[in-house]
Amino acid sequence: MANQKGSKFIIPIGPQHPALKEPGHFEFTVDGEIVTGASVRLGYVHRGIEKATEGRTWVQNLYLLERVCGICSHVHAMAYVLGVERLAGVDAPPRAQAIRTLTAELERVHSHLLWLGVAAHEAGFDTLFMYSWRDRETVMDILESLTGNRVNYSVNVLGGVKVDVNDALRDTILKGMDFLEERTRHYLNVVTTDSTFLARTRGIGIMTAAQAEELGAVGPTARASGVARDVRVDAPYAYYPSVDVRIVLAQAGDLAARFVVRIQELFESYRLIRTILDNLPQGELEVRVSRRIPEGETVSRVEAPRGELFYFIKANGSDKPERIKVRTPSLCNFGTVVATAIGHKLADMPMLLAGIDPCFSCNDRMVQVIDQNGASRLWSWEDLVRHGIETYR
Amino acid sequence: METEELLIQAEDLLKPWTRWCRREQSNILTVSVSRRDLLQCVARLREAHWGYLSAITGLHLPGLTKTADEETQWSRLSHEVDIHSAPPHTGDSFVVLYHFCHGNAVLNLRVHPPSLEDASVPSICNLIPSATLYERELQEMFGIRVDGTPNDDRLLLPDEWPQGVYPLRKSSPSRQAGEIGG
Repeated sequence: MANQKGSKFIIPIGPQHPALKEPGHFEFTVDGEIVTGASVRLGYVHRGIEKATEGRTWVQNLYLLERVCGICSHVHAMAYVLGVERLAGVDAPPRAQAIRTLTAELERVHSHLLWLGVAAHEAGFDTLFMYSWRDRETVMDILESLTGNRVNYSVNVLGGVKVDVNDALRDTILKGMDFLEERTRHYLNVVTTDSTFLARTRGIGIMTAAQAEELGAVGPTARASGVARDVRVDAPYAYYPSVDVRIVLAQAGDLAARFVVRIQELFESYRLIRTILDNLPQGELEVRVSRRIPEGETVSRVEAPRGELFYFIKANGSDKPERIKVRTPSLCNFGTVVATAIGHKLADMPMLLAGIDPCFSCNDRMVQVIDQNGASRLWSWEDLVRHGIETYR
Repeated sequence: METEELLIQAEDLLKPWTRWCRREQSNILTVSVSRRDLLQCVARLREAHWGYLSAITGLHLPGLTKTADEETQWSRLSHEVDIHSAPPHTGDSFVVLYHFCHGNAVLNLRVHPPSLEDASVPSICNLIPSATLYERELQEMFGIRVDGTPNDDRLLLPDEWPQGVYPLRKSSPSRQAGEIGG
């Protein structure tokens, strides 16, 4: 769609994005329908949390950091407490580690099912969206029974956990996993056989293993390209050393592979949840951690639903941290959208964005489409999704 | 390969440029290098396929009066330290940490520009293209100049954010817990 002067057309997408959490702004340079370049601008929900941690005590920060993300809140708290406990030289009791890990896997189940629904919605497959979100309520109810909350579970304290699993709850969780496993088998069947859905995913956004490495992809996005990287396997933490995590890989590197990897990871999570519940260690839930944390630096890494979550923690011996650095997995994966977008149709962009499972926020979104005459009109996110669906109809 | 072997390998790889190194924990190694050697170090790690870049952290170190932390580190490292290459600890300075992860092993490549005024590090994007987002963040949050970084547009701060104000410097005020508004 280059005009006579040969200048390029840039389509801004975002910052508001209604379907996924957290806003981001992408600019796609297009030649007709084909994307030839892309750039990213983030920070619309930058709340200065790293700075805020420096003015709060180690305990207050636990609650602050759990609120970095509304979907994977528990892994943030987990990365933080594991790091701080390491600096303090204490180990949480085995039962506490098991419950942390149990919650992390339940959270992964909820996050992956949430993503499945969102991605299906972006593809115009609302039946799948509604069924998968209905089923997701099973795990939300379990999380609520376990912790009292559907999100921001607040399971961790420095030195342990504050929730326990009794026999009745154990039975409820196991029953829920049986139900979800059966449903997940059905979803795997749908995303791998439904021809209209495959038209939106197969061969779209292909990223080779070498590209994934180069672009710094993490989590399921990297594993769908055959990069065998999973913190639970590479550097087991909490209760993971006692359970054998099987890494889920696919080689195709396209959107379809990202669906398959995430859905198969659900089976792995169900298996881990059962294993943990079958072998739940007895004993204390918590040990005491001093209010002041001895001087030192540490790196704490955990596998969030979206990939490696990285915490750097520096203590100066006081009751407040000197510095906490948080690097979330979505930041790594944004680079892959920018790179894989090139050569694809504008209509594929919603799915490509959804394919990395980014954390984007719930607002209306506008796309400004500038035509050859220089006239512009605004597209909402719905328009863009409709454009995607129409293109593939 | 075991974590210990990996860390020993990293230590060997970086030996020619190492100013000092220390173990933070059993799986975390910090290696301090001069910023002019940074690119060679990163290139060496890449050649040897030693892990991947996981993050870049900036640190603001307060000046001499408050550097108990750094001071004890220096004395602790007595024999490793080449005292002539020690940065002048007179005023505030920055530290940039490049975190490389390989399995359970973590290598922190530590660069210490001499002062706030001369706070720059070379870009590693030619070697590791995915570092661009981390470098942009470092520039915005600390005002550490990253020489040769391919894109230095704003990434996180708002468009109307004032020039020359860097939120993660210790001199930037932060709201305390319980304060509302602002």
